[in-house]
Amino acid sequence: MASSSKTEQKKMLILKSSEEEEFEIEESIAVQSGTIKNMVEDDFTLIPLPNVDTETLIKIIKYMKKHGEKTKSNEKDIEEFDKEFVKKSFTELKELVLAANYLHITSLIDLLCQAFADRIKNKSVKAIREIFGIPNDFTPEEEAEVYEQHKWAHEEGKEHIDHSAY
Amino acid sequence: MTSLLICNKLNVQKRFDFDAINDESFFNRNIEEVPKKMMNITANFQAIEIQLQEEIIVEILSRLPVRSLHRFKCVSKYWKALISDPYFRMKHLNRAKNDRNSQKNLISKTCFDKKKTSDKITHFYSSSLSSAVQLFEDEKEVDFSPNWTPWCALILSSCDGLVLIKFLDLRTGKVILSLWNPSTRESVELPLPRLVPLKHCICGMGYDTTSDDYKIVMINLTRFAHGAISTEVLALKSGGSWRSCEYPTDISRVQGVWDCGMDYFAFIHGAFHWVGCRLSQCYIVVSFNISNEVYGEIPLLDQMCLNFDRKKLTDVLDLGVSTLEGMLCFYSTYYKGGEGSFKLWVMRDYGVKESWTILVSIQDSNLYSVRPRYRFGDGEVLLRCRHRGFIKFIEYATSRGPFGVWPSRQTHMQDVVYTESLISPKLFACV
Repeated sequence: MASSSKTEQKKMLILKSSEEEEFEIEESIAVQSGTIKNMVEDDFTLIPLPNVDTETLIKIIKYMKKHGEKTKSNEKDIEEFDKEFVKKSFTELKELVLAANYLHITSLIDLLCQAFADRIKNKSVKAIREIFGIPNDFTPEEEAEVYEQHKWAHEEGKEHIDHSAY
Repeated sequence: MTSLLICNKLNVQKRFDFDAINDESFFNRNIEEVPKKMMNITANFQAIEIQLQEEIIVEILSRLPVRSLHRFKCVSKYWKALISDPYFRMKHLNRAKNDRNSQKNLISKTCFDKKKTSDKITHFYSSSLSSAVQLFEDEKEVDFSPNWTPWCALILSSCDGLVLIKFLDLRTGKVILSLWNPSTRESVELPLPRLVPLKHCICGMGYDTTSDDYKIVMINLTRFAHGAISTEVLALKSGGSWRSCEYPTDISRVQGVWDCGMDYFAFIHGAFHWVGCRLSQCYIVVSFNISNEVYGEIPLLDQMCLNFDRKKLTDVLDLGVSTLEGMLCFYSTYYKGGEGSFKLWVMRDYGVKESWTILVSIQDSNLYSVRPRYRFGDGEVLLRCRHRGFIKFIEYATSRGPFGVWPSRQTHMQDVVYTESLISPKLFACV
């Protein structure tokens, strides 16, 4: 055997939030983010993330740590974690998905977008506008026209429509 | 998910109480070594409207059911444009194809015990395929079209959320061939092929990646048909009329079974499939490539080619091909020495004869025809059965046993599995 046996010391990275808060994390876990992976390949160890605030970064690190431990036996455990992870307000989810998109964490983007879809699918049109901060740019006549085109979609199952913006 | 690096345009500033952070991982970091900047602690929170980029909105919308998307067209002009965009519709379809929640069963029911002709109108129902139980509990009527009154409608085929239906319109007396999307309720009329009456034809519809077009194929193969076999093809986007194609001269119709063994062609690997009879030999699977319109053959194992044999007392009642979970499958219902049997094989490696594997085997002397329809998440196969003595009466079963009761023996029924999609029939040039 060759004498130079490498004792693999876990390489650590430092992630810096937009508020200049710094967090230490194993490189092997952090590279679940495509963005961070690219920067590591360019030899960065201190990774500035000016687009991610501390609170969001903490959540993301939590996610990456959990998913970094993924094995064949703890699939259910991770599923439970994911289920709990998305039980957040729409505002928090928005910040998370923006950060996950910036950081290029595909599995997290999928998880968050699916959570959004599941929660908004029965919402009323007004609730959607509130959740996404979208002003109504239809005139009343225009909106009535669009409504008429798919009247059945609005009318059938009307009793299940959720009007809350949460 | 496309790979784009997008910068958050809005700088989300949040100042919050340091003590409010009680997260474990925050305190687990090495505090001495990592410098920490003191934060300004402000009591007031700034709630800033966070806008999501288009690609995230598209990602979210592509996961929504069609009904929600139709409602959300009213949200704003931007959302209406996003949802109506052809690229978005394709993205939504590609996701729906792999999503069990987007698979639905369309059933047509025509009651024949009504005295007035006008009462024999076909009604359509859609139900969820998330489980065997849901199939019955969830049944909802779907309005076909305000323009037509479908009498004795026949479901011919389905592809990408579009269903091909043929019926007689009571108001005009015309035979109508219609392309319908049950999820969006849009429908258009298509030209009729020369091969009429359509009840002599088996039909298939598929998407051709080479020409980015949908094609419909009709071949006069049913138990009513006789004489020369001919094929007709209709390309929906390009060309508004049916073209004739030659049919291989050495392959004949399968005799003595109900509708040549299947309700519609099996479309898989870019080709339509059906069962043919090689003269003086046994059954084979015939294929027709949708792009280059070339015929091919897929062999069957000897034990699959049971022939009617008085000596061995074998009577093939029904056989055909279908697709299940992306695999070609072959099924036959036969009666041998007093015992009724149903067997379903799947071809695990497309084109490889030795890869035919039995998936379901049922012994039941009352079976007349059994056809596989869908495979549920738990592996159970949904089967549509007809029984000896009650041929018109349909029952659903899984390999575990029958379930589901149909209303009346005098109801003619058909079913097809379809995907909920936004693909609009109105986009096709030949209409």
